[in-house]
Amino acid sequence: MTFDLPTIWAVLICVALLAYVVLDGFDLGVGILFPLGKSRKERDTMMNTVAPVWDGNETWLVLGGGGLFAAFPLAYSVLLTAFYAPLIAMLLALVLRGVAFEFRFRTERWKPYWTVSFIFGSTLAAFSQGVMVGAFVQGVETADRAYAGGWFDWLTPFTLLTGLALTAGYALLGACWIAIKTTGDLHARFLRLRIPLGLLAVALLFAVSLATLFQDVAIGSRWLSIANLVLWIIPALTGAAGIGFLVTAARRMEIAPFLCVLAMFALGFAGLAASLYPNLIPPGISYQDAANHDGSLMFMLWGALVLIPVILGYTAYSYWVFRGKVDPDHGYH
Amino acid sequence: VTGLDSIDRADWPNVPLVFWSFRVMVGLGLLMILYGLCALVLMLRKRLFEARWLQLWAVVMAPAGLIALLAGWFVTEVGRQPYVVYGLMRTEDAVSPIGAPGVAGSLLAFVVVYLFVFGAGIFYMIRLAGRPTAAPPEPTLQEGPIRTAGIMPGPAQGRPAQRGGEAGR
Repeated sequence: MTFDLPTIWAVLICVALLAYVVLDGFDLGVGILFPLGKSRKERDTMMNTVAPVWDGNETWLVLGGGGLFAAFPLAYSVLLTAFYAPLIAMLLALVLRGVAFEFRFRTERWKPYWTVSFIFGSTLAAFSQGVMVGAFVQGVETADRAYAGGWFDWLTPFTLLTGLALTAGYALLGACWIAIKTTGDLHARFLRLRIPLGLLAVALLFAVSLATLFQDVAIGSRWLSIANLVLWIIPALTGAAGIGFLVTAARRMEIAPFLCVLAMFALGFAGLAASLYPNLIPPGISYQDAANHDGSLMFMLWGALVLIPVILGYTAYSYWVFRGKVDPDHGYH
Repeated sequence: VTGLDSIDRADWPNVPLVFWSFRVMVGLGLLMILYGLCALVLMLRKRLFEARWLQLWAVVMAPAGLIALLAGWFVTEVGRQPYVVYGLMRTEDAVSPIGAPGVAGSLLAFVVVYLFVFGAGIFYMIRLAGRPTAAPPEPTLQEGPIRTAGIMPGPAQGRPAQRGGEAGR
């Protein structure tokens, strides 16, 4: 691997997508777990734990998508065409949950509808993202530098499994987040909920990993080759993070289990990268083949060098401002 | 200036649409400038808040910004046709291999969701506009200065000005 411009951009886009999963995962999870709020006040508190930060978190999706468009136009045109249906479903779901944040606090009569819109949008967005990850791993059919597959190539038992796994993973992140940010009965219930949810998410992650090995001969042989033994450090660390999660969650700690789950997400992402490298349009089209001209990549890199520190800065600042527990009587609205 | 008659008819955009949307955009812009000038004159004559016709005009002008913006968008998007990248790539060559039913389905989904979301949003905005402005909370000395800065007229600024106005009459 040489550090030329396509490699720098491939790393930047991976970082942006991982940042998106790390940051937006827990707030989608809060939406998935929203039915578990027992009263209107509990649901308001749950929503207020993420209300100040959720839209900033989605910046990274824009950076990942926009970066893909400009840096790897071939991948953008092929992948977005291949994932058209789940992609549109995710965008509309994000619309429905995004407006629910604003409108739920503006109305009494329609509050239940916006509550449903929040739950439905968060869950569908999470599930669609999981389906797209699965469809990405199983590969897309191309001919003459364009998508050549069918309408429903993205819909297979494997992609449904990855959809479920990501939804469970986000729900686990959401439960850990609510346990950190709340007090009282809500806090106690979500502290307890983390362990069964964690077991479910770990089981699904395990199932996805196994299915990935048997899904594709190239991926399977890469992982099962003695020469690549060093790759097994990734599943080993994932297992360690899983055990760390169970131990710290059982001791009713607040922040450590959340960090363990985030580590599992990052390691899962690394495992995905190790399975597919150097392909950006699996199978067969590498990120070097899909990259834009060096002139364009250099031009964008200057923009990224200015903008990414700014985004990191305001993201860190907003989390700092809204640190600590959420007061159930004082909303952000 | 290259006239339209020197361009091949196959490379024409929808000319009447571009022609009229450009004029709608510019016309609304001029109307906005005229409105601003009228308001400035009335303010200098200290009759800004009494001029009922200006307020009615403001209500009528409320969607002008949105319409001008959309008309401008029509000018750039329709005016660029039949190219998607001007002079380099025609729109018909840029179409992705997604079948028409797929695009129609997603368009329908967008229309349904946007009608629902924007319908609710416009309803809440109109309701908000119809409510009288809530009285500002009574300032308490313990919480700091009575009036510091802001865009809403607070008690410390509002009352003397009103009294002064009455005294002047």
